[in-house]
Amino acid sequence: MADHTDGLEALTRFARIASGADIAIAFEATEGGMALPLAAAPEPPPAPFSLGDCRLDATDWRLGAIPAEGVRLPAAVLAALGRPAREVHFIPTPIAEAPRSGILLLWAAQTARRCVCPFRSDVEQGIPILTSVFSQMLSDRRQAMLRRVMSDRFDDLIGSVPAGVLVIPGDGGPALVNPPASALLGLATGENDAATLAQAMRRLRESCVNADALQTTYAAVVADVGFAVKAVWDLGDRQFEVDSHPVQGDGRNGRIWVFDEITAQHRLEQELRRLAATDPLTGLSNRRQFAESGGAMLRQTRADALPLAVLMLDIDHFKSINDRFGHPVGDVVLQATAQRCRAELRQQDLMARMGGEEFAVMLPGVGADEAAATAERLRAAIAAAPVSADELRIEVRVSIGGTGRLAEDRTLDELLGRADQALYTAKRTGRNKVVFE
Amino acid sequence: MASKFETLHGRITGNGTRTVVLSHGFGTDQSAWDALRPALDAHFRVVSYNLAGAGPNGEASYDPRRHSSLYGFADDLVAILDELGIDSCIYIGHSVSGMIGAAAAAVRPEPFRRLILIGASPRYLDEPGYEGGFTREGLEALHAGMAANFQAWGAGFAPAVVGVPGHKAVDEFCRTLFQMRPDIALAISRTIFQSDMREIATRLERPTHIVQASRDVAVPMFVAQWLHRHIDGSTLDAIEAEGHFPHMTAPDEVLRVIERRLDLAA
Repeated sequence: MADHTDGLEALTRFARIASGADIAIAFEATEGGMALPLAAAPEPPPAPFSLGDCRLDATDWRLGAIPAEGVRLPAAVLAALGRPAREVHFIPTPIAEAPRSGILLLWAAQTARRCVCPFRSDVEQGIPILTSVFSQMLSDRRQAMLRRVMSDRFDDLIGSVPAGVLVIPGDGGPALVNPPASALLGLATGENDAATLAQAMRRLRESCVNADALQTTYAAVVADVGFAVKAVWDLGDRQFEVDSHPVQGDGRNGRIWVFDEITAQHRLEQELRRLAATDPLTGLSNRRQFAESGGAMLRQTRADALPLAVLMLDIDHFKSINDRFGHPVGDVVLQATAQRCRAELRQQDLMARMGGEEFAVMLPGVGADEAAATAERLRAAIAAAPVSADELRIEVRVSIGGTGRLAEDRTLDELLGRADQALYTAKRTGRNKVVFE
Repeated sequence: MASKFETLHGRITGNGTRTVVLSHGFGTDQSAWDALRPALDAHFRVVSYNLAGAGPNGEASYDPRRHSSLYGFADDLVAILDELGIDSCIYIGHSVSGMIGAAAAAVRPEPFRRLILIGASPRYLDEPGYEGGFTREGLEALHAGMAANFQAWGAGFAPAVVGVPGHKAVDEFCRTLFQMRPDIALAISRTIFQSDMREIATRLERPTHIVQASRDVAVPMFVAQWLHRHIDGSTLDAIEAEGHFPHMTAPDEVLRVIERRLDLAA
């Protein structure tokens, strides 16, 4: 951009010297008539002024300079000239979006001596030849200015949003990184070269908990320059919804990445999901979660050709515990039962409260015999010592029915049905015992 | 197209062959001249107008680029003089209108017979050897306050700048200040406080009378003395008054100076 300015300034200086004017001002002006001086000789360019006041359009400038009384010169221009004006010349250099642009040449009154160079009038007449060069320079300058204004606005905009934003231009130029994105990626705010940025982004992506899934997601679209993908980058302690899409426009605009932090939502979601899946009293899975996870476990163990066993567990005479001691004590008994069982189970075992005093357990990778031994451990753990509630010490017993998966089992319900049947047998045949089907 | 004079809600009062042009300062509108006006009406044809951006519906007259320098306001003034065919006038400008008039008179001296500048300042920022009254940090804080909450800022700024707490001019200033659209007020304030009109002020060749209140938070006496030193043949009248709006809070004192400087027989 500096080149455009320097070129325009040099040409403006040349126009002034060639014409012998005391000041030359190159400005761009839109149809609305506001003139924005871009270069002046001598410097600096005056403040913006309105052409509406000047009546420049009313004169035929092909005939050369006219007395200053013929136009009304803006205060900013006269202030830049520094003395009253005697003559004015205007060379229109219209450009596409600024058709009233041009170069204003002013000769001051009381100029000590006018150049008597014999070529002067030719040179003055020759200035219009420069029109197209001036137009081109004004046009380039305008484009550069617009880009800078847009860039300034863009900086203000992306600097104001809480999301991390980075823009990778399509022309290989430096990428723009706003403050939240720079903090996240460990880069400088503002311009970064594309390679540094790509490296930082890869590093961040690979540090994600879900790096493999992200790798798959992006590998699938990387060949498509127009890809638009929204994915969650899970950094473990923080989560970001990362949106990547091409910048609309003429195709040279590249790609924008927006990192929207969703850690709070993610936590809330996780918590809601946990609450929806959990029995609030015992902290075990609920029936819904058991159906979901149990179904998955059934499919997985079959796929891996591993055995699987299911237990149904029911507290003996729970109704009378409730009746004698009240529901709060009943709740303590349910919690103690859950804790003692959980303590006997492995991490991968699934235990759920199915409702009332009934629990279900899934033991992946465990056959019927081993499961029967586990069931017996559970029963014994509960019977081993009374449960303390307030001042009370309550003897608790449980009945357990169990079954191992058979080759023909297709659904979880089939297994649960058999385990339930075994539990019924245990209840009917004396309680406080384990029965396997 | 509406004339500049109409767009800026121009008013003409008084009887006289000579013309006085009144141009108000930032935050007020032409009603700021109400206290002085009757006395002037007795001698002159009195022309006033609202600066672009000021007064009722001020946003209609304001152009962010044209008025990004005080020269744009000076062009408005010159346009009005041309429209009304005023080829000779006494210009009275308050505050920012001091330098607006100075700029207009420096580049188009013909219609300006005399200028009276009340509380004018060509440069508000302090510099080595120049005491403008404001530091850059102070100005930034002022503008940050304006941008954050215009009403709250104005309510605090008004009594301080008027300088006479409880005076009705405080309410008047608040009323006219809040008439401005806040973003325009902020933009104009920035234009004013960033301006450096010292060079153009020194080019003023017309008889110039500087009127300065002795205790003005916006313009220190140093500035008035600087103008007096740098404008050839100027006079300086310091009047014993508080604040930046002596024409509103101490109109009789201001009037006495005007009468003396313009040789108005009682």
